[in-house]
Amino acid sequence: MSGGPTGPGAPAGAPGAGPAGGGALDLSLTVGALRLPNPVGTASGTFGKGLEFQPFYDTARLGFVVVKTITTEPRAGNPPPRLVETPGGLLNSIGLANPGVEAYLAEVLPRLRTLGAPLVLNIAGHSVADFEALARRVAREAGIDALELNMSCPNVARGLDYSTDPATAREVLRRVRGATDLPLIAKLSPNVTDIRPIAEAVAEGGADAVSAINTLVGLAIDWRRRRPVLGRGVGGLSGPCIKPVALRLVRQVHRAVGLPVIGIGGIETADDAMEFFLAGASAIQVGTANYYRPRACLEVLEGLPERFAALGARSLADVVGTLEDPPGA
Amino acid sequence: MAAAPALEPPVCMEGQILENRVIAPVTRVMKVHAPEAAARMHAGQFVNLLTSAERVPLLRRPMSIHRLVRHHEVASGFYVLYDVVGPGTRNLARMKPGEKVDFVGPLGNAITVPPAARRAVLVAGGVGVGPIKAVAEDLLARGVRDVTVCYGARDYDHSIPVKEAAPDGCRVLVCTDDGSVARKGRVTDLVEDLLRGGRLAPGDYVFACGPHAMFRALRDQLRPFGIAAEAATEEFMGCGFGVCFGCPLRQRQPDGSVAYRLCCVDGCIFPLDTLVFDGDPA
Repeated sequence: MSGGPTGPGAPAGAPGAGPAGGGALDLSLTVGALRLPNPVGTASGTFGKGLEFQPFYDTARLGFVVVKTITTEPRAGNPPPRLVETPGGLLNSIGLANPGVEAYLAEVLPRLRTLGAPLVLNIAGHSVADFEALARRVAREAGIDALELNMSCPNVARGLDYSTDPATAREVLRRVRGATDLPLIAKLSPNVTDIRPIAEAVAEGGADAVSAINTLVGLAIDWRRRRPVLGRGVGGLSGPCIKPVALRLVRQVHRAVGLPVIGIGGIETADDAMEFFLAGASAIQVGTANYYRPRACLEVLEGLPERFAALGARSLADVVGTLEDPPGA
Repeated sequence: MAAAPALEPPVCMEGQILENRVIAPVTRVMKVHAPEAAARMHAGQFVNLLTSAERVPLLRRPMSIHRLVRHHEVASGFYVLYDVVGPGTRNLARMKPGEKVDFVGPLGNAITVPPAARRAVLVAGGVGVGPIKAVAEDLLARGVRDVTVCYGARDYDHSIPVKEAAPDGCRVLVCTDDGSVARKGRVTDLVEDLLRGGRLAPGDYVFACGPHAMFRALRDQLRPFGIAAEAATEEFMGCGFGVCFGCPLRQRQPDGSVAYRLCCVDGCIFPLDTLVFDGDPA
């Protein structure tokens, strides 16, 4: 497959990739029927309930906001320790701590509507039927622009199953697709032998976009105590150390399916974002960097015009998937 | 119950380092000039310092506000106190006056002192001495004249001088685990002396900062006397402002159930007798 700007995964329906022959930089894109003003968003689980970043910058400038995963029932989260720092990364076992869908919609959603950026709710079901019911429930609320399906949280029982088996992944998308007209983003796990069949399956099931990657399952050990460091044993690895893995998988997904890919994994600068665009991402999410650089999303966004100009690009279509293979490769 | 001060949102900014000096073989204090942030700070709150522009280590390091700096009653900066123990604090130790340090703050809640309190006891275990000076100065400024600091350190290398631990006007009692400085014993031994001597009683304000084991011992010690205390907790944090959910503590709720609360935004100060520690009955 070509993977070029007009090939699969180009900003789908992006309005003409900017004015022909010149003019201002156009960073907008579309996901399904949803138009996003720019490709910089937040990764689920790193943006809290959304209002925590307002002291640091105007969140209305973001291309989109993905908020922390919601489940049908409240979840207290996993026992501590939940975090351990590793070289260039962070291993976490939070366990989808959230107040449950009804409390969330009543107490948190009204505040999220004030953020000013397109709002993507992230949901995780404990079964295919639960995914469908949860999607149907949240879709009744106003002010939600898209859903991201957390099919791959490594920190809950069965959490990985939905994006390790193509048939199950397809079925989750098909059922959720039947429950709502909202644009659907399927968030994929890197913890698979080959991510492409999964990406193809969610595309067949009706996804409008794919986000990749979720965290890599990892283990930190306290050998003196003969115990894992984290309270639940294993955790999900994120941060700059996973960026090369994420770039490779984004490129694979971009080449495999004709859907916009939202790149995630260790992004903290505009240079990181450019790498993801070239690999085939039409948008990106900043995750762990939000913890230690609260203005990271804004800094990425503000760094893009200069970098697009360096490539002579006026729109996402000019850069997405334009990575060239090395000679002889 | 006294009303807690209204808290302002944090800022993310650079402050200028004015001092970074050794006060014990492993302990340092750093003075940071940052008027905009300092004007928002209250005793008991913390800041989250970036120790490396090269992101090694990746995460910030949360530090109690050791002291608020005021010039002619106008807040101009703050101190933090830290033990040099790992890559983050080693980076901090290498920073020099004149350089900038990136921080987020103020974070967390502030102390809540009952207006009727006339006497206070501040209990510090190890590097938990960090917030004591700010709290003591706040209490003195509120008119609480009788302030006793009980400070227990591990050994000589970890023991800071009395003048660094507390402001003038406080009584300071010191012990070390090995007796290398002052008397040998645990900080709760110092508290025990106060209780027996009638110098700590219900109605006094008690503030504590230290490890879980100290909190447990102190709670069990104060409970029979019906003495309340505030505990300034410290947990490993991903963000410090409530988005990562990585720093939970267990807290007994009014209905008797136990729930996770986040050290960074639900605390870091909690009523001591509501905290549930490892080994406590469920």
